[in-house]
Amino acid sequence: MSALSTPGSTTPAAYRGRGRGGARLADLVWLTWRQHRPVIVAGLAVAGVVTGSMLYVAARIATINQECKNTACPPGSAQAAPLTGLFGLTNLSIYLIIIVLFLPLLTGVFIGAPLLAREHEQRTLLLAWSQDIIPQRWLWTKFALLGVLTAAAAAAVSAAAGHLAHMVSIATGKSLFSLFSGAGFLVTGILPLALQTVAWLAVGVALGAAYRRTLPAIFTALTGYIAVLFLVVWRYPSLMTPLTAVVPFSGSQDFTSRLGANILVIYRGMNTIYDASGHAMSPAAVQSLCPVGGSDCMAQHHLMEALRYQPGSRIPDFHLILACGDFALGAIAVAVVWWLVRRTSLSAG
Amino acid sequence: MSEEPSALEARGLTKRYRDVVALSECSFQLPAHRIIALVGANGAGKSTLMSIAAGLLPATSGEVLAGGQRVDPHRRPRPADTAHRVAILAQDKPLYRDFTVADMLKFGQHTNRVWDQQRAVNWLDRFEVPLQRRCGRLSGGQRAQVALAVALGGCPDVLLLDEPLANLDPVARSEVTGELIAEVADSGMTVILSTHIVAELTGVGEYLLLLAAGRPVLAGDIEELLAGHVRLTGPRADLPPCPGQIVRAQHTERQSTFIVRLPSQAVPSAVAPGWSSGPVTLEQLTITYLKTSAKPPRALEAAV
Repeated sequence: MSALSTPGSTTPAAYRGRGRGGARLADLVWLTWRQHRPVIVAGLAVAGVVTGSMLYVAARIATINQECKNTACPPGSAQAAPLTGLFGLTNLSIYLIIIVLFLPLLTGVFIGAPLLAREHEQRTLLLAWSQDIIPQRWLWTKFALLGVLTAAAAAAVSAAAGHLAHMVSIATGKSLFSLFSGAGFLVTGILPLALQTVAWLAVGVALGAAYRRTLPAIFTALTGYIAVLFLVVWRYPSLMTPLTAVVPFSGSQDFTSRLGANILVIYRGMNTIYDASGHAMSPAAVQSLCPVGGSDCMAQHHLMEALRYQPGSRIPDFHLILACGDFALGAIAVAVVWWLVRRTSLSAG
Repeated sequence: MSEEPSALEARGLTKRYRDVVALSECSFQLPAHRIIALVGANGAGKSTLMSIAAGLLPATSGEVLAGGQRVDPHRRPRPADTAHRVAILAQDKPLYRDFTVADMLKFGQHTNRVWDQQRAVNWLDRFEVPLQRRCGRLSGGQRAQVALAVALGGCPDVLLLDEPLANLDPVARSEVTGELIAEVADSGMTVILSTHIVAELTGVGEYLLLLAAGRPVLAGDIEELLAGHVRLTGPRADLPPCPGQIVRAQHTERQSTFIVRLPSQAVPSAVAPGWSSGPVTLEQLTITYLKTSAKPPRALEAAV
């Protein structure tokens, strides 16, 4: 027992001492870590496992791509075998990308929503706010630290997802797997996913502050995320005015040679058919050439169709637009949190 | 009282929750460096008053001053050297359940500008609270001790304790009150201790603020208040046999009992024949004023 210990004390000397206290940035870093370390560790572990899995799958696909000289391996070939099947590398990649799609939701639900709601539920907000620390500073420091961590983790995951999607697009043929469509587009680009994760962290915090209960906040975040996801999937193809092209009929989706890789096909117009020289044909003329219709017949007669699409070169622009939307969502949520916290009154009784 | 430094002062303090008035035009001054008993029935406004004084709850109107400085409802930062620090311990003694007791002390250290680890640890030592146990696994009494240790470690100028003895057994209550008295004597802080159980205050409180229906009905040094009231019993009469303000009168067919607030703080030397006088206990005094406060406000104001 050190000289500081009192007679009969059972307390180690390490816990003793007198001096200036905290309420500075380093103190809040400690508090954030101590209070949220289970969820921080779990979150980073999930992000690490998902990132590692994607990089592993991407490496295996890259090996196959090299064997097939960076083109789609012929169907039925030995190289193509690991890519196919329910749990083949292609589907595995898609499953992983879908998991990444929901990482912002998990952030909002497991980190954002309980941040204030659990403090309200356990009445520890009164404990925290009755110390020398100012509530706004307490909250924003915690939010900033958790935001930086989640954004960094999301950026790493997104980078890995982008790499994996690129490998899959080579393996499956760029015409079949466009980096502009589906979950692959939404989780790549780094900035959108990082901002989206922070935005949903803020949404979770705002819902927790509003409800003051964790479960309703989680449920609302879940519902809201699904709704926003559907809205984005529905609306994002027309965020910029699409281009129109007249392309030859083809049984396949392969427009790569004419329109470039990674296009997003919005509409394949079947109403107007064009002849080989690009002139619109009357329905009767089309009927006379192909009485029973069908793409094969149209292709045989070198007929062409209209196509509305977004070119692959616009992917960065679209990612930027989505990132702006996420930033706006996050900014609104942060403003709501600020307003709610400012209005929060606590009673000791 | 005006010569004593004021720890806490309320000026026209009112708090409404929609249609419910929790505090109504409260004005009082509480002296520094003493243990102040804030007494009132359930719903009298004790917790509301403490929450406003701690800066956790904004008042509807009026203001609270701690050490002469206005308590900021939004808890904006103030220079450390001029701030009069007010700490509050809520009724339910909230703690982070997954923190160990040692973590709670670190929490106090990291969230307060001033922290006395020795003081906090000593408090826990006295009550043999294990430092490495998680707060969620502590008994109610131990939780209360940890919460008190965190509050005391912050070295506040004013410590507001809302029903601090509620979770403690009789022995622990006695020990805690004894230690609190020692802490006040050592550090010079002011402790405001709310309760609705007057028996808890015996030998603890030095100054009384009695709240009823959101208004202060009695305030003063407890010894002076007790010395300034007398209980008179005698044959039925409309008035007591000595001058003073009748706080409460009870009549049976043949007997009258009065609690009288004397104009001076001396028990009348002579009582009329057939009358007996006796001192009033703190419990009798508070109950008398609380019952009287059920009367219209005008009568209450006259009684203060």
